[in-house]
Amino acid sequence: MLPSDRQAHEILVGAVGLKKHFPVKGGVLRRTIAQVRAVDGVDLFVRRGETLALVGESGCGKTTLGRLLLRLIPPTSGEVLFNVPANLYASARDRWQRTAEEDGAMRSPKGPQGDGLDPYAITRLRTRAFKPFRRRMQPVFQDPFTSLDPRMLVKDILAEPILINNQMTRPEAMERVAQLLQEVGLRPDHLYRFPHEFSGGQRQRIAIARALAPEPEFLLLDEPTSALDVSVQAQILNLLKDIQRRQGLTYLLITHNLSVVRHMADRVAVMYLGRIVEEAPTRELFESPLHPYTKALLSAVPVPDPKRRREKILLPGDVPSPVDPPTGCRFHTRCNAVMPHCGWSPRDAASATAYLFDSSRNPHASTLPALSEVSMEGNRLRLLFGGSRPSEAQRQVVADLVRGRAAEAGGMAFQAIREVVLEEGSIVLEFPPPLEPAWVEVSPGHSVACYLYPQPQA
Amino acid sequence: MLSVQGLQTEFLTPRGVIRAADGVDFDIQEGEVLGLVGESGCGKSVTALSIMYLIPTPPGRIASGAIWFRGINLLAGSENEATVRRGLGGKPKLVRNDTALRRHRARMAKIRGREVSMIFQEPMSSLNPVLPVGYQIAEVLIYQRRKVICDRLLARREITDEDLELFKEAVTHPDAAQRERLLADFCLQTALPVEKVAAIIDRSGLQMEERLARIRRLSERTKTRHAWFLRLARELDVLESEWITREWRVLSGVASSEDDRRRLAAQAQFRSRQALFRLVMSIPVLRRILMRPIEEEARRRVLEQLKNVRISEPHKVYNEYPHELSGGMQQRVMIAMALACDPALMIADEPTTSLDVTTQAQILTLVRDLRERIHSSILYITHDLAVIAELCDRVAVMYAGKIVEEAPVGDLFAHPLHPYTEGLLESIVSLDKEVPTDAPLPTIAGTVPDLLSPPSGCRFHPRCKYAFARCKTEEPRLLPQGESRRVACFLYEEGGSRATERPAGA
Repeated sequence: MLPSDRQAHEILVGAVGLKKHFPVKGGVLRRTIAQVRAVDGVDLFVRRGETLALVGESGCGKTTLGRLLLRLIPPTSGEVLFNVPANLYASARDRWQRTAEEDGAMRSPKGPQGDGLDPYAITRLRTRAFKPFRRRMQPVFQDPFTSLDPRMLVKDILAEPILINNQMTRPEAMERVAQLLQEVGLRPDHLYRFPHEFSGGQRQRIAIARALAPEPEFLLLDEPTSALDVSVQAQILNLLKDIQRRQGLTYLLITHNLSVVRHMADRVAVMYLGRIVEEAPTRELFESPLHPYTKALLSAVPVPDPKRRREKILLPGDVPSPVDPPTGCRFHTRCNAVMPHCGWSPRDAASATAYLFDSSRNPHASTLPALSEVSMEGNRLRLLFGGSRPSEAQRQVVADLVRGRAAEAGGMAFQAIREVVLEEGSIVLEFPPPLEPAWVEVSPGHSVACYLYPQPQA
Repeated sequence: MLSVQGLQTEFLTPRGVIRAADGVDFDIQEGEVLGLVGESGCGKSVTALSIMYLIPTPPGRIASGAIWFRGINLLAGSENEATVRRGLGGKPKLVRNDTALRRHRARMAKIRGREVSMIFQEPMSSLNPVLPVGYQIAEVLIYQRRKVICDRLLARREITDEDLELFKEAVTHPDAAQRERLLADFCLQTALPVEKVAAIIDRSGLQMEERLARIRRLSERTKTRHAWFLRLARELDVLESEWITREWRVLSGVASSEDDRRRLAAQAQFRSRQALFRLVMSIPVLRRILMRPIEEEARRRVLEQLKNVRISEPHKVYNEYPHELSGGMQQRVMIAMALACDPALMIADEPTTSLDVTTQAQILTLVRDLRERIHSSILYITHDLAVIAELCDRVAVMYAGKIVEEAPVGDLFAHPLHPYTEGLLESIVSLDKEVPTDAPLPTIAGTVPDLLSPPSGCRFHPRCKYAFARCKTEEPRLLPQGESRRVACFLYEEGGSRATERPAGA
């Protein structure tokens, strides 16, 4: 028996520095040309017996994070700890954060050895050694129409996980299956039917029963009600709460429906583009959200009352691509509370330069030579003026134009420009090196990653 | 404007006849947004598809009813298309009359997309995956808006000095938004393609004189040629519309003798012109040359339409394939397509159900804004009452193939009449409803009935907490309640316990 099996520790599932990058292949040789940073450095923990909700838009990496926690896919780096004492988890997280600051580069997924985490880190186990853990953490997926095998009878669907884990003999398992069905509110005569004979709500009940079959401690609920009707949704949520109360289960609820979160969760983590941006106890998050993204999410929920209308914060555009996420704070391209140090980079300013520095278009730029090319190099934006070499006076004109544009609406990217320098016959606009906002604990249990809140002194 | 009366749509399955819409009645006024709400399988999508005449036959058919749209009955002339016969062994079989079906589909083709358009739930599966999205919208315009496009092309003229002044301003104006507006104005005046003009503006290293010269050359290149063909295409479109509209009126039984005479004249004229048009189109080289200006004009309109639905880079999106767009963008493209021909009625079937809350908020705001600008009526189908509350003027609640309640949106939410509506409203999980976390959420007991064998009497009675003896045997009718509401429930009829109660606001 593994040491972690003997006693129940406070933190059931914990992630430290978790990353998952999917390669994008291209070209004739199918070489990796880019990385999709689906999950990009996540620290997250779920206490025993609580419900943690993970919310975010589609494509933010919440489903990938859930799959990593169950070790359905291997992480690129970082670790998943199971049934770990709180102090050990905290020290593991600190250690990962420190190493991340020191080298910043990708580290071995094994992490530092001899740190006393071996009995807890399920990501360090070989497949065989991991098998006993599988039983203890089970998923319920979003779409009950595709997650049940259409060619298996309900009784076989439910008995399979029990038999695979060698928990019982077949007759015993059948008894347990009948009892499971009752637990999720179905009748024993449903045992000998196929999934297609059930409605969506009933199928989701079967999926829940299947997850409960091997007596797990942790359930991953991945959008369990978003494919269901409102009235059925309420039934399923009641069932999940009821089961949790009876069996003392721990839930990780992945959803984009904030109303469900309010009803179900004890704590909420908000995810944006592979990162957790805010984490708080449910009530606190709904009453005083801190991150501008959380505020926008909350304001977007439609109000089921025609007489009241919530002031909506509309986020412009779509979620940026996780292949090449924005530098600095990843939300700065859509944020309504941006500041000059949110991590602006040349690409945020590039589109405006075509007019701004073109002498034939902008009368204020008439003293500049004809602009021929604008190129981006890291955090520098280079302006090339055909064959002619710009003078110091012309550099001054560019600097004035930058200052003027910065004062206008939407000129935040220009406010961020630190210096305008003359270099090798071109003029270079220098941006500050991009920094991500630090993870700040604003009040007990309520943390946020945003420059609006006082950052720790470096 | 639209009046659906006693619509019955049924599907023949191996297990029996499913009546998915069973006597659906509702009206939509000019410029109104009507919400149609109900659980999955209650027949709301079937109702929408019946209006569009998109029910697959077999297994489905519209058994009876009338759909009046701006003075014509959209179901007129479709009565004999599919009849039920007993086949071998007494099993019912659907027999299709292909000639009648083809004629009716041809008539419907002049309504669909032009007068009534539809946005589907899953944009990914309703857009063609092998064609760029812009082209898919342009196709609608080329087919349905030939008259308008040809008119515009025929009105094209030489570029003037005034136009060039406007162009100069569009290049040099200090405000980015203003520059964009001036560019749009310039292209509207001169009918030049936006993307080509934009390329000339944004090209760095050009002097103003060079830019003006390029614009002149562009105008020279895109000058209207082959006016005879444009006139022919325009006339064809006009004649066909006239003929078909009058035929609809004849079929619907509202036509005058004048209508009948003009219909035949238009039809004959149309046929004679069509022969020439077909001949020209059958020669690929000619077809390409002659259709090009029409296609370019359609493209210009598509870009405008894409901008209307707040797509920030229309030129880029135009050439992209559906899978390259996010869910929200795909749905915008669908809306742009639905609005391409300024329809009188837009049917939206769960357009935001598969989207995130943030994207949903964007789309809802967009629909609300468009509503004020385009004056179309909207039939908005959803199971999400919160969305209804945000958007609609009136709501119809559907249960098991029937409308059970209809009311102005404020009244429905303040004081639901039908027990089913009551249950639906209670079971909403809301951000603002402070539910003690330990108490279970209120739900409606039981499940949606199987439409193969719907319950006797009122279809909701097995799940209804107020049900009494009469509910099991008799079917309640949708009767007016107060001034602006209707409800189908015995509680409100003579002898019902709530018969004397008057709802607030009614």
